[in-house]
Amino acid sequence: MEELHTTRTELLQRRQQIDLAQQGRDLLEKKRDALLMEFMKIMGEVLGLSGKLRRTAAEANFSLAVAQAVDGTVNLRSAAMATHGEITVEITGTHIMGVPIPEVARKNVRRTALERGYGIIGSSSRIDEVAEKFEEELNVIIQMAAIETKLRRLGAEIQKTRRRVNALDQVVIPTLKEQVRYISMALDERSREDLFRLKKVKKTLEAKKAAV
Amino acid sequence: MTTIEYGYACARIRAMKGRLLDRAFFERLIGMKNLTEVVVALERTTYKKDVHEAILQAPGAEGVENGLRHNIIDTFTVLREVVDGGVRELVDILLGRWDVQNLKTILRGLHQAAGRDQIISSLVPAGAIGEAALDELAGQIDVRACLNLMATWSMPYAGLLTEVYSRYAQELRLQIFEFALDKFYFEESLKKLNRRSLDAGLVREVIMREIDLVNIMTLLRLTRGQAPAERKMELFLEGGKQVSNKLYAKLAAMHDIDDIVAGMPGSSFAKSLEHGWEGFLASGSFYLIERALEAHLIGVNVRLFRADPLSVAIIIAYIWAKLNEVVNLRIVVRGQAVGMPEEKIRQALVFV
Repeated sequence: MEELHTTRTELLQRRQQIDLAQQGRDLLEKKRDALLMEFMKIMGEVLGLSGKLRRTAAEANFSLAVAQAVDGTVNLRSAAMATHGEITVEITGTHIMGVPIPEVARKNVRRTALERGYGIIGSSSRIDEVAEKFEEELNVIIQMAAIETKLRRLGAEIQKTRRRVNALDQVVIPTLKEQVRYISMALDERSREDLFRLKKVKKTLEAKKAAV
Repeated sequence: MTTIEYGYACARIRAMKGRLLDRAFFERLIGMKNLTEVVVALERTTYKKDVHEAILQAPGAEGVENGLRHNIIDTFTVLREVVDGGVRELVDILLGRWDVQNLKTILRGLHQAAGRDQIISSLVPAGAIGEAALDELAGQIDVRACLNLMATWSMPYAGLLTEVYSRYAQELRLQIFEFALDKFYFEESLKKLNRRSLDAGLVREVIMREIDLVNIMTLLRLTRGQAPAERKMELFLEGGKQVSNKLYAKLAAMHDIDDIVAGMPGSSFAKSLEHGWEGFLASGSFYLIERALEAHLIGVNVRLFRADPLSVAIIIAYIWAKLNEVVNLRIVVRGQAVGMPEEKIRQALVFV
């Protein structure tokens, strides 16, 4: 525990610190509420997207099963070799209530049958459909990745802010208040002692005066 | 081939036909509770050895599918062995689609620098180009080296691929090779079949029907992707029986699939197209149109079993019946593996 000087200056300083801590707590509470509002808004979007992801994944898997059945896995693997490629995603940054958030640019990875790399003749519409559905799933995944990162960052910041508010509320402010009470008591005690000492001196002086 | 030899080949193929699975067997398969029961049922058929061996290496639907693939390769190898002379040439034309598909797979793999094993596992050596040759081609360092090797072996596709190589090297688009291969296969096949004989005529009819189906599907798929008419015209294959250049150009100018579906009223595909279109409207699954057209083609070709018994008709019919059987089995196996409803499985099967 830090050394506490039971002086009037110290008392004033501690009182100022309490005011500052209370102001800080109020500000942090406002920040937490604002972040929570933003969090809930994004949460709705995430829930909607995760439902969409489940649906598109189920559709994609069904198309895959149909293509595997009719065209065969070998044909699918062959077509997949022709369509193999990379997807680049543009990521920039933004701030929400001072929290740095990555922004993933929405990118449509959907291609037409002619853009996929395999020839139209010799492939089938089932293979097109598999590619189409998985591209759609990828679109949702990219969208979701962006929003989910935002959500994680906001969640972490809300927790951090809540911890700070709690620390101010439960530890810092009560400790400061306790210190103020202690210094006040010490100062009161000291003033009572001074008063008693003065009275004692006065009494002694009066006794000496009477003896003379 | 003499009539006596033809008699022998046809007798062998008729025996093979006798081992094809009937509709009742498929109905039993569909009703089975799980994949294990399906595998047990398959082990009582001609697929026993292939499925048993494949399933030891990869369990589940993938193993069964590998077994079916090996069976197709073995069956068509036997088919090529029981015929010779001019009929072998006709069989090679019919099985040539596997050569084209295998070459495409090798070029795709080399283009993407996929490993040799990955390429080899995606091949079906059921055509005239043998497994050893395909393995060697798949093991080349790049597309150029593969083409050089094909040229060294004087393979029929080498000249054509070398011709389009410079364009490929500039644009790095595999479709350049793929379209050239498909075009070459159909054109060369029709050229080889341009002689007056019953057998050549029958195979020519099969190839022409295939070209028609390919052209119709190209139109439908590109129209769905809103491709411009010029792009559709670039992919037109000459040689079809019902879809002429003029009709194709007329249909290519259309922007709606339903207009294309209604645009071939006189064609033998019209009814299947309409049936597939109705399925698409009801379920939103575009592949139902293609499946309906395939069912039509399978039906026409398999019905050749009823044609002249001492002609190539029985071979054509057997190839298509066997292929259809394997596709039907794959549908049941994959359907069982993913828990597809019985009705959906039944809808995808084709019976003739």
